[in-house]
Amino acid sequence: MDINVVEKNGIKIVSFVGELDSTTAPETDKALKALIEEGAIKILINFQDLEYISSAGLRILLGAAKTLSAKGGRLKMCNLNEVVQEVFDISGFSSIFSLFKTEEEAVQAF
Amino acid sequence: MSDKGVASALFMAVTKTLFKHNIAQHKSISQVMSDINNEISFENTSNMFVTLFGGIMNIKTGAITYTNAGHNPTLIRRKNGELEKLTDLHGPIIGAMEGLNYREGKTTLNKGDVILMFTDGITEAKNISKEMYSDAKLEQLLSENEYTSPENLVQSITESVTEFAGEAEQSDDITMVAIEYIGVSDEDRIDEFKLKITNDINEIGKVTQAFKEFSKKHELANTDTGKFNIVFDEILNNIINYGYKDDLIHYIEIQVELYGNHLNVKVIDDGEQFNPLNIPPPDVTLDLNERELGGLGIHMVKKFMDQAFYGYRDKKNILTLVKHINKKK
Repeated sequence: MDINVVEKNGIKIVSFVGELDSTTAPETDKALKALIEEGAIKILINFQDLEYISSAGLRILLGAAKTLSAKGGRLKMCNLNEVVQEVFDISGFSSIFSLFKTEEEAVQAF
Repeated sequence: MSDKGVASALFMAVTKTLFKHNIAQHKSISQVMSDINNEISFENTSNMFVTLFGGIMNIKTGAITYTNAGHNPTLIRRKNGELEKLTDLHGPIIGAMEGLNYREGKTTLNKGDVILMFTDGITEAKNISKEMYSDAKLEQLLSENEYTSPENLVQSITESVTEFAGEAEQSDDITMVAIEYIGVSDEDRIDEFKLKITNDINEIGKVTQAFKEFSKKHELANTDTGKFNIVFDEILNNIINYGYKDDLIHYIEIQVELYGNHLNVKVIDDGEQFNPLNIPPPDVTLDLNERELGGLGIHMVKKFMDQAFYGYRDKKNILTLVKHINKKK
């Protein structure tokens, strides 16, 4: 799992490469927490290169969204593949997160 | 079941519970029947009784051992349309007398054979002229009608009996079960792999990595690969985090078998006896701040797999998962 961060229009765009499961959840959690502590309030997670996500990964995202929302920030996500989309649908996460098809659409929505 | 009404219904419920309880203990079918008979016969002051046909099938070979305790014969329709009647009795009706030793018989189903178990409410269904539907009529239907599926077979028997009875009131219960042996044998297995890991979260990656390679080798669709790896992550996480009460090293065994159109996965662990399939699903409609994730993992496992079974044998939890798969296009 690789985590890449770039900044665009004041938005931190985070890309996950690989899979987000119990093995990679701790490092992902650290990376997101570090970003928020550094003061990021607009975070976009691009799932383009994410193969799949398990509930251990969802837990991290839920935690990040709560922390960010308490600080008045926003978390958005884009480019979910079929499996990731299905996980979001089954878990009901589709309705609690703002999801976008493309990075551009997501950036404009901030 | 002897007689009808509430007393009979309760008697039936007791028999069913006893059967489930006894068959789960992995005894032979004759032993199961003997034990049920002893339980029911003991202080059976109402003198009610029940006829029972029960069998245990080896799904890999199609071999069946069965015990018939006073029930009407079970029928087998071979793939070529030939009929066989399991006429042997292995003891009397259940509930008559304590201490009887029931015996058992053997038969084997081959691919495409169907076994039909039924109550005499079918063959003894009467029309308004008091004529009986009869064994002959049922056997004729079974051998002469084109066979398509167990579901259709049961459907066509129901229709035939209903049509025969016409205006006559139903006098007895009509119950039947048809099972077709589709024959998953070792020869149909394309490939398999087995892996043993220790109860450490960092070991899960070995399984997902091995499955990725297996998937690649057999060109499974990416969506299936992802779903299986999510399932491995959820199941193994549960076992490792909640399955053990000591701090010792334990082994978890993972078996993956690939057949023509489906994958069978078995996860075996020696942790506390626990059926994860009984974990209630989470409320997925709550908003961000109320959401809790307990139960979500197993909820996903159930959604992603076509079938899931749990068993506990030799002090081990055995979770079996089946999913139909797609090959890469």
